[in-house]
Amino acid sequence: MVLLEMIVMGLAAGTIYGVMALSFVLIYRVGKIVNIAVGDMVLLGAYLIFAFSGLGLVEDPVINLILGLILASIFGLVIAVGTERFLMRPLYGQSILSLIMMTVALGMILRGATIVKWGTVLRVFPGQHEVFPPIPFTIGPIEIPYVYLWSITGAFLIFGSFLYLFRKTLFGFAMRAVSLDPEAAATHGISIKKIYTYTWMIAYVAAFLAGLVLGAINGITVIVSYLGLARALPAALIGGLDSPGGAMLGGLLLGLIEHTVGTFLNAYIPGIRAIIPYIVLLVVLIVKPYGLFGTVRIERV
Amino acid sequence: MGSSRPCGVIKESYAADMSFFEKPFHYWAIGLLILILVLLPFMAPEFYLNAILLIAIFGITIMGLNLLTQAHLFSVMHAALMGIGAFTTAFLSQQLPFFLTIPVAGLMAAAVSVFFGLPSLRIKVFYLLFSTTAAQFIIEWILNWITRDIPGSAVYTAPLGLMGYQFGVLEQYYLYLLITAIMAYLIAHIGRTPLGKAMVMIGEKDYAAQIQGVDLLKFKAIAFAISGFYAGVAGSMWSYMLGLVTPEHFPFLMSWELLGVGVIVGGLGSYVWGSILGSVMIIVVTQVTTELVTVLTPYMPWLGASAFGLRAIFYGIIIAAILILEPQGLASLLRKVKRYFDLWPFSY
Repeated sequence: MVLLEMIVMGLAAGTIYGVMALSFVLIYRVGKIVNIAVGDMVLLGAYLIFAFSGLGLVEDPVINLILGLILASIFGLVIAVGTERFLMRPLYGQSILSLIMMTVALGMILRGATIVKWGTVLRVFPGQHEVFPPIPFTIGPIEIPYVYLWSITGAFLIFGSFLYLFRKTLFGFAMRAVSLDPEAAATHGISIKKIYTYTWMIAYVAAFLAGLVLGAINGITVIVSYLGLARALPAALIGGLDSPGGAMLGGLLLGLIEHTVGTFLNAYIPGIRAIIPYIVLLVVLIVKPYGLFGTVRIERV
Repeated sequence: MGSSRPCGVIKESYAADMSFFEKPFHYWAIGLLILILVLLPFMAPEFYLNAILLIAIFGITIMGLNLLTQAHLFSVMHAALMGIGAFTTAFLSQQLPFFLTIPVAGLMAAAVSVFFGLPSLRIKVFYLLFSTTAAQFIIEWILNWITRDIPGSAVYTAPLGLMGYQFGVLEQYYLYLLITAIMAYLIAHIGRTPLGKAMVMIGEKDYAAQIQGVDLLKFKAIAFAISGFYAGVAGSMWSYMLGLVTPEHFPFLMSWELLGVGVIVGGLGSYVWGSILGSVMIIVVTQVTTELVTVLTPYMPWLGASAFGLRAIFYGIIIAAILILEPQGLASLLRKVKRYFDLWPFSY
């Protein structure tokens, strides 16, 4: 029964890893940008939700937090436009190292800004105990914390709406066209700049949702940014870097491994659970670098 | 080197073409720099000496990292490699003298670097960034694991000394200067050997380099070994300078500073001057931020605890500005000045 509980916990936690991986994969698929700043976007999201829900616009703590998420996401859209316009656009067409280093710079700016604004003290969301009660939620014999219900619902909503957008609408079609061949897409009248901007917007919103859940689990500190990066990279890699569906599957697998293998190993080597995602990352890189659903790059001279 | 000469500058012999210092002026400049550095302890307060030692330490790490990045082997585990060098030194320094511990620390870091670098044969470009991220955290965790029984995880290093004679600030300064000079000399010449050419080829396209006869396994392993050795030596110097080391001294963030500010802002491919400029940038920004926060705190009390955050913002802005305005880094500014004076006063 303990094992069953671990599996359910792992899958529940995995949904939010999947959302972070989705944020990462989307930027990579459409813009061919390796977004190292994903952890810092998650961190910024946690702090923004903390700030906006701290305003206390609504009495009910649950609605208050959801309103905080919505306001933070709207703020995130503005930051996404700024990111694309001022940091990424000057570099299109340049080497991959430049693009990576620019996301590193973005990450440093975001992380630095949160530290300057909110300091390094551990924070919790307003109404944390009402929204995420310490008593676990029970389904039959299984007990899971309330945070994971949020995680599952949020992941389901954002992933479902994203997949609908990506697969069924004209906008998603344009996005896939740009990801396939930006120049050909441009000749067919698709504005690449707009597509890139919208992509960053979706990535920010996904990261902010992950910020809500990670912030609720660990408390809001700088650590969230490392946790985010540490979960997003392996999850994205397991699924293959350019497959949104694979990202979710990768997240679920990573959560499963972390909560089963990690918990078992932790009994023998205390503290090893913290580096389980990195070990998974190394193993996946060595065994299957292009992931389960990734495009295998064929290199020619 | 001869490749970037403007039209009108003529070299008449092979020796002149390959010579390291192209003009008498360069000898003068180097001589002046050495003179200033040697005389500095007698003129400047100790604060500046410490800053210069830190510049030397980071400079050495960045030299190795620069060589690795030139081959497009991106590594963000160099802070952890410095940590390995520092801890090796700290554990050995009680028994062994510094001229043994420093190379041993370098070799130790080189071994770890090769171990985590070997997957680079199979994985390319930014995938390597992921694997070295993993390496950084795993090494950090191992360092914490080793020191788990020591209170505060702090390991003390015996002070620098030779046969019972304790080194003072002055001796330490000259020793570090000498080590930096040797390391800089070596890395400058590595760029001119077949190894250095192979690095550039691997950086352009590694499978194309393989077709041209570059043994990828050998050269990638050597690149990681050299880079690791440099980081280990730098970590060892750091350990002697501070007198104690903890795993928290070598965070993930520092790896990014080394790669982002050190290599990219300093100048990729400019092994000596680019690395030194990048290192100067890291130290100067750190010091300026600390000063700024101290000055501003009375007026803006909320700034107090956030020097760390302000520094990250500055680093981010500097990296972004350099990438947009001068993608070749600060070293290319230096090169432009040089180019201007090549044809001075009658340029076309």
